[in-house]
Amino acid sequence: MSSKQILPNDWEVVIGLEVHAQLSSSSKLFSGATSKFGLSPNEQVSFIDSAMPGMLPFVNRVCVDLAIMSAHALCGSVSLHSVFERKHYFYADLPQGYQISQLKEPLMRGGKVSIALEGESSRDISIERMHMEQDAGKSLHGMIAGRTCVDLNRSGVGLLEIVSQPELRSSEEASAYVSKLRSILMSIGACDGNMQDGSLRVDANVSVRRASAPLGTRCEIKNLNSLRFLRQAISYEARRQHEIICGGGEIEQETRLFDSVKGITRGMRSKEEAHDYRYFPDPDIPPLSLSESYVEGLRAKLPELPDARISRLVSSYALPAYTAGLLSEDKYLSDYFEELASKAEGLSSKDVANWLLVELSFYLRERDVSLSALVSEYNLGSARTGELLSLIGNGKISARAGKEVLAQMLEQPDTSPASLVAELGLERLGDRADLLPILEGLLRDNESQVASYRSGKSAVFGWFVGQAMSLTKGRADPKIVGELLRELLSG
Amino acid sequence: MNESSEDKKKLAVASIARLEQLSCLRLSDDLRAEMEGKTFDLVADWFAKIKELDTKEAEPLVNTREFHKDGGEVALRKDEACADAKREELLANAPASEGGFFIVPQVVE
Amino acid sequence: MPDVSKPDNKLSLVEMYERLRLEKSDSRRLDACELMERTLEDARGHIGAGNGTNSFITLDEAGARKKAEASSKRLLEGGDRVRVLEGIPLAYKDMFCTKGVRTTAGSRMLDNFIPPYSAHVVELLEEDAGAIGIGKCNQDEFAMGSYSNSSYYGAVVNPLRNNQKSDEQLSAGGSSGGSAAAVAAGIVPAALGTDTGGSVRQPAAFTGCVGVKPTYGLCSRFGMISYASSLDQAGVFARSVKDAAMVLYEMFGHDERDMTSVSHIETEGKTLDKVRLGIITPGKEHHEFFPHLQSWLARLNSRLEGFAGLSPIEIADSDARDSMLLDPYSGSLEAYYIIAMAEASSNLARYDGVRYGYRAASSAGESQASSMSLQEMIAFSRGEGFGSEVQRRIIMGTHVLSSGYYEDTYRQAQRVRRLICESYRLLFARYKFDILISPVSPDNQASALSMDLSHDPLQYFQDFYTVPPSLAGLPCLSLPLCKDDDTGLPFAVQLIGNYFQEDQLFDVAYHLERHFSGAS
Repeated sequence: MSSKQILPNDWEVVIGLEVHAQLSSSSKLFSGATSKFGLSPNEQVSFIDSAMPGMLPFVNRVCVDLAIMSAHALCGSVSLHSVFERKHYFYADLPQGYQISQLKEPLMRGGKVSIALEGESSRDISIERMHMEQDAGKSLHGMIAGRTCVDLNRSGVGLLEIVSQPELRSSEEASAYVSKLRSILMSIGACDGNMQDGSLRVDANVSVRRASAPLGTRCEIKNLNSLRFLRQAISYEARRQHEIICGGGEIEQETRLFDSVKGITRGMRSKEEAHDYRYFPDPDIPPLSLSESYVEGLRAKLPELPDARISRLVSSYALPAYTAGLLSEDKYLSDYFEELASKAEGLSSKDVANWLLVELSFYLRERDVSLSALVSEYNLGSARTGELLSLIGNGKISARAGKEVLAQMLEQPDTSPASLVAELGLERLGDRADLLPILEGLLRDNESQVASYRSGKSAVFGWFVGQAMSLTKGRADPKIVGELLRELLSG
Repeated sequence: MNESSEDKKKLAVASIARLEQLSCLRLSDDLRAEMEGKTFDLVADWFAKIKELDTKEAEPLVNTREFHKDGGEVALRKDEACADAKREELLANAPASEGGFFIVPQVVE
Repeated sequence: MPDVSKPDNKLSLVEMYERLRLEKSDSRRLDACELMERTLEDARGHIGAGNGTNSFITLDEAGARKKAEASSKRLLEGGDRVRVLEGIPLAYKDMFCTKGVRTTAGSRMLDNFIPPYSAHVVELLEEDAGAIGIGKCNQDEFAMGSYSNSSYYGAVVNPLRNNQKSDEQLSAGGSSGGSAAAVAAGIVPAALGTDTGGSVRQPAAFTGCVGVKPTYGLCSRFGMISYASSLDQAGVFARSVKDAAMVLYEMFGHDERDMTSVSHIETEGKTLDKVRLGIITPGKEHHEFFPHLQSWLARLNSRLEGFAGLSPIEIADSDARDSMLLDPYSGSLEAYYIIAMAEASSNLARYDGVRYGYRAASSAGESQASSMSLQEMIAFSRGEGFGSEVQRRIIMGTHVLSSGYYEDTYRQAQRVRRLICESYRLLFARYKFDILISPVSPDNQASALSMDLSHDPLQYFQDFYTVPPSLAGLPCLSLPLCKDDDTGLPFAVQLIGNYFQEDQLFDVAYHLERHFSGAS
């Protein structure tokens, strides 16, 4: 249910998103500790991350490079002079008592992400700014009674914070924006895009208003880590605010959390006083001074970006933009599609794409794995699935039979599709010699229907086709069945 | 502006309380009383003094290296994961630790 | 048998260097282990309030002995394994982290803190140059103060006395008073301090030592506890210019782990006869505050009469100068304190009792449910762990950075700072001075220990002469020239050089030192 339906026609929801993406560098932004996903607490922490006395930050070159490349990929303008600032507040998982971030002089200003909803043309969502900052550690409450446990593994990991303009107008648009942004960052290797593990998190600023009225008061919903939660949170929040306003109330500007179990947003219990973060330039870190040639040099290293890939898939494979968009969310997926399209005989690229997005993707959800995991675990590389699709494309089996074969391909990863077809007896019956006796038998057993047809009830023809398919367990080629039936019934 | 000394006192008290909160620092009663009285006068004098100076044309200076003949490029760090501390060393000075975690009183969310 | 009348550890560093390397057969040969024993024996009498100068907080006897043994072996073998400062005992202000040895910053907050790493400059001095740290020197808490009387471990006592009031204990100055006293008392030939607004130069002047603060960025701050990041520098105390230079030259250089340390050093010294010395007098508005300045100038001039080898000192009277040139004294104290307190409030935010350091009510035992919330625990830990001067500066620094004040105060102070740097640049470039001379502090001599200025804003004026070159990041040196005829206390001057002109600075200082000691 889209939020467009949640609010009456003359109302609109206004959404701005802040996305935090963890940088895929080997080490952290200001220290040489490991930045990959950790398991055991406090084993990926340097003395710098733990803010021990006398420790100083040391900026990671790769983080800066990834940030610059992200800026290029987002069509933003890179500031040749940017400054790291300290943002002060006290919390157990913020060792320095301040977070090193950027405020007045961020790395990138401007930029855009293009989104295309199904059936709509694409439109650009503007980005206000992007900056680098460090992630905080993790606080685990209640693991030990009355205590909070602090794990600093994540403390100091580099983040990109990307702030959009409030141009999104529905939860679907918001979801599409995050999805596209994620795929862009993944395509350049800046972020692994794993929302479940927290590599990519979204804060949503939501307000509602009557169309063409001034902007309403907004609430910020923090730390949404799935597209589904993002959509649910926005829908709920829009409805909540609309109800309050229609009831004569006013929206209180606040920070809210999404309760994924109940599907609602709630205000944070502790009413925080307005923070005074006391930002000032970090005196331990000289301003980042980049040369024009260095910045442009990184632009040349950009791989094919999602939008370029979408255009290419549309023109090379005659795919609809929306389908191309879905395929381009993930480089592995689109590469897989292209391999499969070249191997699958007898099918249009569009059919291949749909099969991939519907039939194969079914198992991604069912088994809760990524495509590359599914491929390696069940031997579903494009050679093997290509064989299956060729069998369908060449008419050897029906599409329906193909579903059964696919299921079996997972159960028996070492057996070829052709062998499975034989094993299951799913070959399409297209041979006239094989079909003729079956159809003759069918007509013999249903003389009254034959009479009905010959007397003018043409709809009975369809019934005969259905019966024939049923008798052959869907294996008959409906085209040949139709031809033969016409011959038999006419003669 | 000439504020009455009563107003000044109220302002000082509210300000010190807010600063205690921002600095997460609990002053002793004596120190708090002293700071409510003296501190702002002193700091206000400093603020007034530097505001008097003609600095219109000057950009704030962050680091004196700007005045070196050749500042030299600031080198950034190679991206190698090489500085993970041994957990025992990390926790050795901790007032409270358990199961590999730093332990603090529970935060009420 | 060593000559007891002049214990080995009272030798100059240069003499120690020579005598450690003498042939075994030479009776004057110094053995590193014996030298260390004498040093430690001496030092033991200076730990804790009421004991000697109270210049030490911690002694690392076991560690020092072990290193002395290793040095002794290397010296015996000779050859290129012998490093420049092999076997020389040094002491470090307790702001320098020393691996495995307690480091407190003079504060209850770090009373039990044992760092698992050493400061970069300590690594250079010990691992590369072979020196041996014997322990950690007392100081004002977190380097905040000018009298070394705010330490959790008691005040430092100046080994010198005023001849006219010989039973009155004197302050050693601050904040690096312990390091200065340890050198002045002859316990070690040299010691490290930290200098943010004068914390090496002023105690050096009070105790009659040479104290040098290098160009900002020359020495790495990695592992040196931060007070005000854009001002802090490691500095050296010694009893002679040569000794100070020997130590400084082993501890400078780019450290990539400190992004503010410089990688490019350019020096171009002049021959002594071409060096132009200058004194800048502060504007008329300051003359009223410092009646000593005129008498100081008069004394200096009378002493320098007939000094061959250096051109006469010229006086650049601020009132006669180009009006475009902002007097480097103008606004400098205010700008300094605003910047220093703001940065300090930020740098000390990490001391929250979570991962190390003092935690309030931790003695209650963590297994019991504590009624304190996290915020309370942090607030009380800081309130109990920090002394009052540190707390004052944190509150003031937070005030400076808070919204509504930041633009007008911190940013404005940084603008003033730029003008001060410009001022010096013009003095060096347009007016072509090479070395500038000034008093070290307005009082110009050590005050009585009993005089507690901790509640008095007057304490901030102590830094009047030392703060401007700190703001500019220039190298400077405090040099004791002679003793006052009446009090017997040292009469010192501050020499200020241009960026990275440490060689020139040492050169001029060395010649002044020789002239005043009568050896021309």
